[in-house]
Amino acid sequence: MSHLLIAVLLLAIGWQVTSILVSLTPTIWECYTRIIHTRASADAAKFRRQQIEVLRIRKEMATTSSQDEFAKWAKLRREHDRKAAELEKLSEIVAAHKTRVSQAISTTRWLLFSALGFFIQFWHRKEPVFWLPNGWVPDYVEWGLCFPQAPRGSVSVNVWSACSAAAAGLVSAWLRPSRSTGNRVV
Amino acid sequence: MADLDELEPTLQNIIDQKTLRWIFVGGKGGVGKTTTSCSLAIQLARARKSVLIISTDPAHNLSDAFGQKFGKEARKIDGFDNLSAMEIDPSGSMQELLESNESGQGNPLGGMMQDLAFSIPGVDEAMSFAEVLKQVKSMSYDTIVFDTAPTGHTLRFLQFPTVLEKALGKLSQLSGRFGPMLNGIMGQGLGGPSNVDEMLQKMESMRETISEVNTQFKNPDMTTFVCVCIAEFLSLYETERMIQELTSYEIDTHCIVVNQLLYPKKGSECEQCNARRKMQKKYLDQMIELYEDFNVVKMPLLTEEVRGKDKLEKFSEMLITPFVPPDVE
Repeated sequence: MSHLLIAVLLLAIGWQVTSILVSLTPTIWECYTRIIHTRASADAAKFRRQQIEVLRIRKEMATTSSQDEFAKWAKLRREHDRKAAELEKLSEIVAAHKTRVSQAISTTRWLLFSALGFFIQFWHRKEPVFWLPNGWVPDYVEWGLCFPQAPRGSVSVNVWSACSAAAAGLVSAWLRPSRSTGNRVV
Repeated sequence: MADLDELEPTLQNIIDQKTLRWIFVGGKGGVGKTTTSCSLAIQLARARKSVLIISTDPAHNLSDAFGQKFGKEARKIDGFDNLSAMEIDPSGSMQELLESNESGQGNPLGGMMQDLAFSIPGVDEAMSFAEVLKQVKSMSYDTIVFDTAPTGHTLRFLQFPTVLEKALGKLSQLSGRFGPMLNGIMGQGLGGPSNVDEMLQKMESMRETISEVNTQFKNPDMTTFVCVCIAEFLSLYETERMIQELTSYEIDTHCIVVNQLLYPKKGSECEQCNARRKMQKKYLDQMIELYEDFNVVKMPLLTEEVRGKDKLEKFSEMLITPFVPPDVE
């Protein structure tokens, strides 16, 4: 049953690897809105344009003397207030899009790894992943390792996935600091 | 700067607009709001059946302007037969409301109102304002001129209807759900089962008044706001801010009165006057450029205080017939 062993291990590793994806959500969002043309990307582009526009008006306002050119200044301010209000609305819309994207990412990740893992654990719950040599571990440990339904003397898929998850977690925690120094991981 | 489509620099349009019922006059303190509102009321009185002028400014100036004591009740102004005035103190009338409640009986309504008055800032003023509006509405005045308190207060007043309507709407919605339960709890402890109902009824009726007034205030045929300012930076700045806020409340405003303009005689040696005139001209030009869709009325600074019927009447003429400076530089 070595393919079960490897599948479960891969799932655990995959879960850890994709955690990088989650932390990269802002970057993914940026790429998504710049490359693929959807309503979300149109809104995001509008948001960026509006941001630049508001900043431009702010700069212009700062260089216009409100005392000497009140009319011009006041008109700029009206424009600024109007555009800032629009920006506010746009930012809400964009935030909603963003949430949807990050939700999609985490849902896909969950379905691909966690849900599949649960399914495998359920489906193969009665099968041994591998056998332990007879007499290597005490009775009660044997009982624990085959928990809940695998035959006595074997390691169950549930125990094996728990171990894989723990191991993958440890390795990723150990590798994680190196990511910030620029070393490639995986 | 004389544009062809520049609007007439008079308030004649307000006099002509017979449907107007509420006219607010507002601006920063000390720019001549009271003088302007009194003058406007005098001019209106000549064209309408009856006009009421209300001051909501805690520092009551109507009495000063007309040299006559006014109170919470509308009173005819000496020398006019269709012009009345009243002065209300927004915070004062709430105080009375609370006191009358307390003395009446030991009911929880008073306490509740008191809590409410303290919990939402400005709600006490709003409630008393609503009370006043209710009163005024039952009176048969053609036009009501409000001499409002300096800028901040005015805007808060006008904002109230919207805010309060929302709050009260929510409250009555909640009460529909929890009213019976509240009644059960409170009824047991306090004997009377009708306390909550009574309070909610009171609030509901207030909400109705407010929402009715609100729709009237937002109707440009019925309500307008006259901005008063002087040709100085801060005043101008406040006016611009006020106009933007009024627009956001959907309250019509299309008239600006610029007070205290200096017109020194030609060849005047007065250094200050000439310097000031120059500065005022700068801001005035800016205003005319910025408010091209407004009636910008220019009023001169007089050498005397505008007080009393005669002087006010004379001053009010200039709101209608533009003042022509004698011979300026």
